[in-house]
Amino acid sequence: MKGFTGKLVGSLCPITDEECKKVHKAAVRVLEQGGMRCDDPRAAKMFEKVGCKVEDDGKLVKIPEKVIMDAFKKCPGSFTIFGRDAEGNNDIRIGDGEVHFATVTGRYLRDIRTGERRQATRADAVDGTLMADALENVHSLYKAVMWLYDEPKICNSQMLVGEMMKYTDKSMTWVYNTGAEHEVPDLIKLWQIAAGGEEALKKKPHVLGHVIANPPRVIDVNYTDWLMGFCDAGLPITVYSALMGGATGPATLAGMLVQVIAETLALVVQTQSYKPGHPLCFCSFNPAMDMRTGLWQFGNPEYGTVGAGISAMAKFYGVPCVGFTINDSCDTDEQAAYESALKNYTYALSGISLIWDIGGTAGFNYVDWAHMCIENEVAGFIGHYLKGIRIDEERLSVDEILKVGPLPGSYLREAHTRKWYREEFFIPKLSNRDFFESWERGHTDLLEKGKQQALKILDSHESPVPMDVQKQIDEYLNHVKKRDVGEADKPPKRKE
Amino acid sequence: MDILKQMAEAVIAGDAEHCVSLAKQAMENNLDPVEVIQQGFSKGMDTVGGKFESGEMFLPEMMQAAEAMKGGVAVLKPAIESTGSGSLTEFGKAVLATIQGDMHDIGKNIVKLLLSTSGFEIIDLGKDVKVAVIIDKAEEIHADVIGVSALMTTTMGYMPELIQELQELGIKEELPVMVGGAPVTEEWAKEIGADGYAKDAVGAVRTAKGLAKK
Repeated sequence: MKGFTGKLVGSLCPITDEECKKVHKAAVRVLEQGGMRCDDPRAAKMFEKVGCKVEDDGKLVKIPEKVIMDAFKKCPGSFTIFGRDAEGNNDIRIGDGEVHFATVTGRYLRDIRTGERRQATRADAVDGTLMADALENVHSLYKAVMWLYDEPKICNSQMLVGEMMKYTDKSMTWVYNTGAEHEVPDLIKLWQIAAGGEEALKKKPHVLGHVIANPPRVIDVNYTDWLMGFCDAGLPITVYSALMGGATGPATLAGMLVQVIAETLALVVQTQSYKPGHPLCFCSFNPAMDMRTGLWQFGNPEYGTVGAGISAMAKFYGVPCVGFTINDSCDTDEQAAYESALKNYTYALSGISLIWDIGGTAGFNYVDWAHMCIENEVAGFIGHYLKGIRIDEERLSVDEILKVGPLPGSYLREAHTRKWYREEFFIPKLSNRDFFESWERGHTDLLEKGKQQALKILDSHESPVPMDVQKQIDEYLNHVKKRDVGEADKPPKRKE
Repeated sequence: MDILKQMAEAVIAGDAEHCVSLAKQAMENNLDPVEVIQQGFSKGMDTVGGKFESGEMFLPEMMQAAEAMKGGVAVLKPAIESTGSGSLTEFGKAVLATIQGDMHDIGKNIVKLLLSTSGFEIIDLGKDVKVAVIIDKAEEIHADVIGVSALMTTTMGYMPELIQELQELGIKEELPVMVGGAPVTEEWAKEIGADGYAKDAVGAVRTAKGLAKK
């Protein structure tokens, strides 16, 4: 699926090239002088192998600048996360000036049929996956819902990923979830089944994995498991810090950026030591703390700005960048709309190549399929903005201007108009373009329009995944269920 | 301005040095240290709590105020202990932990600081603490209240486990449990049989005092 491109991609830079160098030097000072605490002996060995100083009985790793720059020499400048369709229509290129949008997740949702706000279930994961599969500006998926409240914890991740693999052939991304004993191998197995085998997954990885440092300045045990799991399976990864400004990171944007970059650099070194040449990218996930509640805040300007800064730093090192946006609003309301639009636009302008935002709000708490349809449209708006003004002979239209004017000439009947308007003008599906008076006499509001679009999708959209693959996934989930809870799996039925 | 009022003001300003010097001054003037804390420093913290709840002050200032107060109280502590003239931990012992599987302890640490300036002795078990460890410690020291927090839905499931375990051991009555953290609601706290809930640190102090008094 071709992402959005255009001359505005990468045009927004909250720091100059000179300042990128300063941030780099500052991050290097953090890693050379302070280093990272290393909670996993396997990780310490990976650092030691490439020339890092390991102190404090293997628990502290100091990383010299040369080791960092050597690691970047091995990183590809861009890579592909593949779709599983035969035509390659759902492939997404991470880097190379392409911007893509993906869904985000939540624990609760608005039941699209009853309007009730409630906990998510496995059947909702199916709905969320089908929604994402159908919408044209959703290029990739995050977890369809955050948690299946009708499934046991021990196999929650497996059931979720299984349903996602059954109902879309678009790519997905994965962040550590339950930490259950079989989580890593089971999910990799499910991704392999969906891809058509171990080698097929390596050849065309359809998952982007997440490896996260534990701020401030800790290399975490769980994520070392995942780093090895993703690398061994041949899945590209995004490496980052999940610091929260004012709590697990400094309370200045520059300070947040320095610590994020330092922690990210450590993971770049760790990855390239474990598997030289493994494709990776940076990621933005750095809220400031709300100083009243202590909660993370994603909706504020600093979140988007720091994200754009991380993107600038990724460009400085020659690797791509992806990022979460998400909102703070607890409902799919006006606040969710402006938070989303401002941040997604900021991200896209800064060249962040994959943006997880569509359909969710309230900081990973809430998804709504009607909202997903609206944000799908917002993504379309942004994609259109990114094109900028394209200047070429035909678009400059001098011959047309000379031909049609002066009045009473009109462009409406011109072949030039028919040729260009659909490409140059954005044509929204949901946004209101009514005459004022007719709107006053009666209209359908935006959320209701989104709901109708969602219901139509859920009523008619079919899974693109072949039945035999769906069957293999069901069989594997049944094996997992029997092993973990001693009973047969009962996947939700699609239609009554 | 009398010294008690100055003490309250120094806490509100988060001025640790001033709190220490005022505490020393109070000692030199032979003032009752317990009364000085209750009528001086604590009054300041009450004001800070009010300003926090009304949105005039935020967590960084509130924590600075609590740290400042702790500095002043440390000066007065030896005198209280040697004379036995009263207790700094009138509400008893609070065992605090971030529940099993959860590494997010920022909220728990804020509660810890505020409780420590509000008449509690704190036993902080840290983060990712197993249910059994919490119970063992609480029993061992005869805790007056147990406080557990979670940030993730995946870990809050250990809270009902803690309460069930206490019930099964027949010690739930003597060890009241308060729960908190972003995904935890008052309704859910009631549902799982927790004795108390608070949505923020200032509320946690109120809840803990109420439970400990019982």
